[in-house]
Amino acid sequence: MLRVESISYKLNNRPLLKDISFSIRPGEMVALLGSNGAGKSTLMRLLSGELKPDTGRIMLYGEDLAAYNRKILASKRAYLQQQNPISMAFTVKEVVMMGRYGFKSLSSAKNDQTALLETMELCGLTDLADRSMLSLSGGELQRVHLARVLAQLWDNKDAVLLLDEPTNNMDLQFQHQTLAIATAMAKKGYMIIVVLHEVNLAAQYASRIIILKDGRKWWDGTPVQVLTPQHMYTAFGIHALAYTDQSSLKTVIVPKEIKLDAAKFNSNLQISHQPVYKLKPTETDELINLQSVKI
Amino acid sequence: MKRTVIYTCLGAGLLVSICFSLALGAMRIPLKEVIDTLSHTLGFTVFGGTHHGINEGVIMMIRLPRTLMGILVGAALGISGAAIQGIFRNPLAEPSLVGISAGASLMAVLIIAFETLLFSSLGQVLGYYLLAFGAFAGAGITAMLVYNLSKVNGQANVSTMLLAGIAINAMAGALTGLVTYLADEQKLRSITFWMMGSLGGATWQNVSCLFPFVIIPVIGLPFLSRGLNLFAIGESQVELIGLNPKRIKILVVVLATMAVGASVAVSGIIGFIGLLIPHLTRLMGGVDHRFVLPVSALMGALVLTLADMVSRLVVQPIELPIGVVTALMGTPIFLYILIKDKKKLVN
Repeated sequence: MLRVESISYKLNNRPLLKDISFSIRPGEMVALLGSNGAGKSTLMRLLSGELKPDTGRIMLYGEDLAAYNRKILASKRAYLQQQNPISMAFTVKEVVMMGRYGFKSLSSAKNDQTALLETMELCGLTDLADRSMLSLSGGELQRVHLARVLAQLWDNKDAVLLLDEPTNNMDLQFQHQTLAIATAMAKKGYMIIVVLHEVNLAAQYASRIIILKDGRKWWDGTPVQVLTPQHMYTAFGIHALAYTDQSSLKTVIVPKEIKLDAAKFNSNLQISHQPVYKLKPTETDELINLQSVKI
Repeated sequence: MKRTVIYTCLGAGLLVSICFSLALGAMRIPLKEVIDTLSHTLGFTVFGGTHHGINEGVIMMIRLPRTLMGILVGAALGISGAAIQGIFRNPLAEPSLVGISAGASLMAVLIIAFETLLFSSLGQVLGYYLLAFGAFAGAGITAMLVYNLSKVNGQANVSTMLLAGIAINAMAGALTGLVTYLADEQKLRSITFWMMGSLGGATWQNVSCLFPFVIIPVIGLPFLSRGLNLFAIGESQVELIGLNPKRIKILVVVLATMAVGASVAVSGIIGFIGLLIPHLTRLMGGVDHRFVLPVSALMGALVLTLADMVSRLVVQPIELPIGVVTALMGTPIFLYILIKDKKKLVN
């Protein structure tokens, strides 16, 4: 059980999060939505302990996050960051195994090996196991770090998994695979909080959606309750249609196309209906020279 | 399996090069006599055990302390180079490049100058320890300075790190030069000693003083390998995975600068070993610090023993400063890393 009790956070006197409260039960998969700068990542960094709230507190299983022992907390909470730069040529296998460093002495070698193999299989990394991290694409790197945080929590379902835009750079298949993994983890009893930009992924996979706007919690409920055209407009400033998919009974959001009049922006470019190809004088000269040679 | 082979080969290579290092030099001693003398000292006999008088004296009084110093300094520079690169998260962070060695040598020179000025003499053994601790402090202060200067958003920035290194090197080099010229004391020897390094000053006394300063980091640093591995994926991840990043950082910097500082105090700045050795180690067996740290120590010992042999042999009977030899081996590697990682390092 994770309980966030009216937390606020300021950076250089600019409030980034204002009085946020919610609680999550085991087995819930919560998607955190909101426009750029709404405070999603700040909230995740507070939940991960990287930042400390100015007011309020975060309780995990009845104990304040700040009071936890580092090693015990590592077995109860894992956090996939948005950026995971790496500068040395570690192999994929080595990085996934790093997730289990914190309790090396507590868990058996067999458990470590199982966690390694199963998480790599889930994230489609089995064939990449011995590749250097420096040779992977953005989406592949993201999958390695996903496998690492999964491996960290593999032995303990009383845990919260924080995923900050896990689908970044991933291809379509792995975007869905990632959320399917998160949903399955929630079924096993884990608590999942995932920051997403794609509302339809949230509608399909999350059991609950929280929408942030300007550092405040605006809506909190099931996808059907939260994902409405009005809310889409308030939170994201887009016009959208909301349907219910007849076979799955899940909400589908279809944003309306935004149209811009090309004539009304970029005053550095002249407006003209005919495309004008201007050549620099030297190029024109060369062209003439070439033609004269041909003739 | 592959790693066992590497350990065995390096161990065997080190033993062989020790024997050659004892045999070769301005005065050539047959290998048989070298082994004889060594086994005799250790208390058993191999080839009948006759005494060889002057040759035994050369081995025991001159070449053995020098070889041992080479091994200790090489191990110290190799392992601390690898550890510092782990903390800085960058394969170019090398003690002599980023100014850590220069800080140590400046401290050492200042101590020698002030010692003769103020206390006339502190006594040999106490003096050596004072020197080693002073150089350790100098190395530690510069390491912290460069680390904090180069840190941008919790990550060491390569260009700032190297620029800070240039500045500190120039400053410490100038001050070292100034003090060596002003203090006309035989002990300071020449500026070449401090800037280029030499194992020529080896005696049993300073080797035994150097020993604890090297053996503690060589044993201690590998215990921090997993923490160093985690630093590669970001300082904030260390905490999340359940290890203490501050403790790891402080211990690594203390142990690494302890080894570098004491080495510089007895042998001056021997550059590029800390860059060359970890790089070769990673090429052979991957970047996991559980492998890189101990193997860097072993390979550092081997390579410095060989480099010392080269420095003694190429222009006999004069000796080349050993820093010249290591720089000739190390700079191409440095350039190679730069070219290979050009795109990555810019970002």
